[in-house]
Amino acid sequence: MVAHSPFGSPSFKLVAKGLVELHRLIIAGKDDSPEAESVRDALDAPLKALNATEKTRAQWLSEDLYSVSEPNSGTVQKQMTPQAQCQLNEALQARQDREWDRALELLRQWKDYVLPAQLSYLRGSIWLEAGDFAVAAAFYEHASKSDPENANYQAIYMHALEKSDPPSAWKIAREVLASEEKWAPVVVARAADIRINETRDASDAESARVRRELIPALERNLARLEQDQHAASRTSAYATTAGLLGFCHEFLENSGAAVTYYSRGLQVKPKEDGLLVARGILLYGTSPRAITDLEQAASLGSPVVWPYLFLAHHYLATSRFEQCRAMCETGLRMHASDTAKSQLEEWRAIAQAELGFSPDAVRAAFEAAVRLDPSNEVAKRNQDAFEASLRVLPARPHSKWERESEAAVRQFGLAERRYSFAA
Amino acid sequence: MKRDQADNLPVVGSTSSSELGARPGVDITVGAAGNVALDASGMSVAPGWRNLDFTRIPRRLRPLVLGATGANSTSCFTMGVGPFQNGVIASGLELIPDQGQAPVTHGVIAPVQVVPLAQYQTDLGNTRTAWQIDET
Repeated sequence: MVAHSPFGSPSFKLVAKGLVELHRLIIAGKDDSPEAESVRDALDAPLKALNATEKTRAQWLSEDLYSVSEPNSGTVQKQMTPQAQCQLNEALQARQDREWDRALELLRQWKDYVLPAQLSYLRGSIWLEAGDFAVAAAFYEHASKSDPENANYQAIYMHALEKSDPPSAWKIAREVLASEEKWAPVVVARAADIRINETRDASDAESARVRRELIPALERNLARLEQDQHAASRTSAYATTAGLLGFCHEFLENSGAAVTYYSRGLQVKPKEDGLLVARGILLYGTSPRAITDLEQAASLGSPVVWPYLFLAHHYLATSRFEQCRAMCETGLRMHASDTAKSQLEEWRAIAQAELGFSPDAVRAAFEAAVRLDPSNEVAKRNQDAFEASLRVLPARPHSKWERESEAAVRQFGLAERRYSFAA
Repeated sequence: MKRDQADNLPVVGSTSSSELGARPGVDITVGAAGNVALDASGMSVAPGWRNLDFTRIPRRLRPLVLGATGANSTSCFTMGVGPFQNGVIASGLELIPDQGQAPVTHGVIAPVQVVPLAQYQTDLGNTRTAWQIDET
């Protein structure tokens, strides 16, 4: 999961989407069709709402999209020079610095020194990081079609398409899985990931059926990757495939097999925080390795709430209150359900009480816990116990807390993240 | 606007935004009795073709206008000379520039009085020969 800062207003996003559609119609020879006319009509209002910077950006985007809709229109590939290389490096740096307009501008200036597929890939990557998946998909699709030998282009195209147009991505994923041997393992892994995501809102029975169906395909993919040391993005494809196998088995409640696959993924990519979190949760309460996995995921800055939540519980259980409090606060900054956040607030309240925080601060955390999840009865009872302890002289701002077991927290985590591993 | 290949004049109509005419309920407000409303709605125009949205400028003009994505079957037309300011421009029609800071880049050709929609469309159609292609 990548945090995106906004690159344009909602109106700009509408314009960008419309331009992609318009250029798609140009490619199809339908730029004079009623369909194209309605796209232009729909663009009238958002175009008027753009500021001057956005309007210029939109015009340049349209110009860049012509490299997709009208390729080879008068451009001559030039031999790379040290100056061009330097400027292209600067474009990459600008992208890294999130100066997207500048990155795009530098690419335009030096585009003749880059192969068309690579140029589209770079443009796609800028737009992907800028959070505009429809534009990214348009450029990635062109990269993939211009250089079909590069499997990474197809895989990243499917990823961007899933974000911008899920039904189209689902269709391609099914096609890939129906003829997996024709596709590179990195593409098959991406297709399986998309197929799993497609079942996010399906019934448990349907989700289980799809996972059972995917397991043999993913096992074949893993075997291909083991045989082919030169496969595109081998390490990443291997870790993803192993992770997806682990996830499928976890869903089907084959914990042993799931842990084995997560471990296989971690053998090739030891710092893959998704795999560390997955294994850490499955082993929580049964193996000390769970804690080292979760601590490593947290130190890697995992963007999901789980390592922080589990570690908060672990530190609370082992009376490491300052560490517990820190984990709760980090976890509360992550995207999470109200139930998970309620849990974190409750543990924060307990840690604060133990650390001698003011009763007001402790009370505020307990109240937040109950507000976030009114069904959190343990938090209510712990708050009552805390309030009662304040009435005893000399007042001791803590009490004998009621605590959730490791098994209960593990079950909670497994149930909550059941559909979110592949996110 | 769409160009009639027979005489290089605009195509008259009211079903598309690229025709010489106004789409009822979209460009022009029409009352229950079928008469046009005098609410500054009407057929959109600009002071010059370069002020049009780049999605309306034919893509053959890309060398002149960045990113132009209009259909090549359309042309940029101009009508009359003089400043882009409020005033009667043809029988039954007046130009109403948008309110706002200068330079104004958009306005509408509106009816000068309440008339049936058909009359307004006829008045617009009657200007057909006054339009000339201008893409310079």
